[in-house]
Amino acid sequence: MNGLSWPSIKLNHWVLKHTQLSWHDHCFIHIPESIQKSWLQHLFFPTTHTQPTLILHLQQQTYGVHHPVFWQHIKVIMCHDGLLANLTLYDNLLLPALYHQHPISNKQVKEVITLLDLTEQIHQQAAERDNELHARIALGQCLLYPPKMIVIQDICTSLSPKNKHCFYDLLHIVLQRTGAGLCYISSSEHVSFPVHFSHQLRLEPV
Amino acid sequence: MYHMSFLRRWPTRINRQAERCGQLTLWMINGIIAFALFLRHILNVSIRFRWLTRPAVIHVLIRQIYFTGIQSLPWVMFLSLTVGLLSIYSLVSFAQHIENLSLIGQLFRHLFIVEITPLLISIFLLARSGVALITEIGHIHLRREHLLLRSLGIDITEYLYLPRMIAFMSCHLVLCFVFITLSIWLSTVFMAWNGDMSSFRFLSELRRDSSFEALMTLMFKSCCFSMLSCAILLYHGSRMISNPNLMPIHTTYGVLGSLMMIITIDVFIGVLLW
Repeated sequence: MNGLSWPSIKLNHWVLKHTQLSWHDHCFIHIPESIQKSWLQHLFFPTTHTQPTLILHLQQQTYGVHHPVFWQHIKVIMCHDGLLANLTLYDNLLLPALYHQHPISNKQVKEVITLLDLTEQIHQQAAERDNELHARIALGQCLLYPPKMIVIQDICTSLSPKNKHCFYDLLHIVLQRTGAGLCYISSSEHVSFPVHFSHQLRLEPV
Repeated sequence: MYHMSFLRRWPTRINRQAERCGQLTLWMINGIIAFALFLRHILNVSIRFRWLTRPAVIHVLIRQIYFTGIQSLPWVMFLSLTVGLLSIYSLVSFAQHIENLSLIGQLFRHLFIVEITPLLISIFLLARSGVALITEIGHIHLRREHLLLRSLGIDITEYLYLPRMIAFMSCHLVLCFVFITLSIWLSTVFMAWNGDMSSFRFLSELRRDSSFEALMTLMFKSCCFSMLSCAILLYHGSRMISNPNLMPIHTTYGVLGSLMMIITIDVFIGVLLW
């Protein structure tokens, strides 16, 4: 099976049960806000190689989070962690595609910039930007270098209703164009999201 | 009574001192091993040559070369005009004073090319680009951008460390040659203008004793100094995780460690050549 899976993961008296997702699945995981950061750190950037975390299944091979192949197919969008400060927004947008030598045309780049509504500020230094721009650039990166699965930490709590709708629309377009699966991690139990989640998971006390 | 209490305390003191010595030794050995592994990883990535095919890495390399090499050129020209000119003029004055002009070439080769130039350029690059490099890498780690790079499938050694090291090494070498060439040219002009020695005579004295060996030593020293000092800076920069208060400490350790490493290697090479 091609997709993403994880064994039963325990951390800080909470457990996330074993689950298998295929590429087109849409999954919602409820993680309380107080432990969300430590859980995301544990899931995606564990300190040791022996801790059980996410596993990518691809063409009968498995890759852990320490393997570069894992990150070529899974795109993680976290709050405030989407931009390199010393690059311009344009460089940030193109970085994954350029690094992985993914063919992109100027026309495609222009189209994505227009879609992201960044035409005026695209050549500005990234420096300190708000959460929404981090997420927008990350979604733009998905359009230029399509992943198989997008994992999003709930950024909508800090957005205004207008920006929230723009973000949802953009995410909808990205999911349609790339055909990627979605794993949405939120601290709210219900999200008014225009996507039907095939899996609804939550952390359970040990 | 006092004598007895001293005797009783003495083993405890010795134990404490021994423990401190042991801890320091272990800390140093641990640091050296960690640094060696760090350097080995960078060299491993560099000899795979995959970085050559990645436009994003080449982009960083070009930016670093621009910052370390091209933006340093006015300063190196200033150094040539002051230190370079003064050194060569002193060498010529000394040779003229002892009435042995054939010494000019030898002194120029042994002192100027092999000793002064690589050391001076290393110290200059350390002061100008080294501090910027270590703080930039430190900031990247403090802002958790290394995790972002990892989540984009980007090898941080290939993207962050290797281009900086290659730029540092190549710029060091080029700046050494620029410094030597400019110093010779300025000295020739100055001496001809001052009437101390004709340009032709000065250049022919330099040419007579110039050797390929001196040039190779310069290149070897330049590569050694720049590679190791850059690796120490990168190593200290990469250790600034999660605590911004450690930035000045690591910056000081990095710059001072690089300087000490350069001087030690210089002495070591000097002893070997002697």
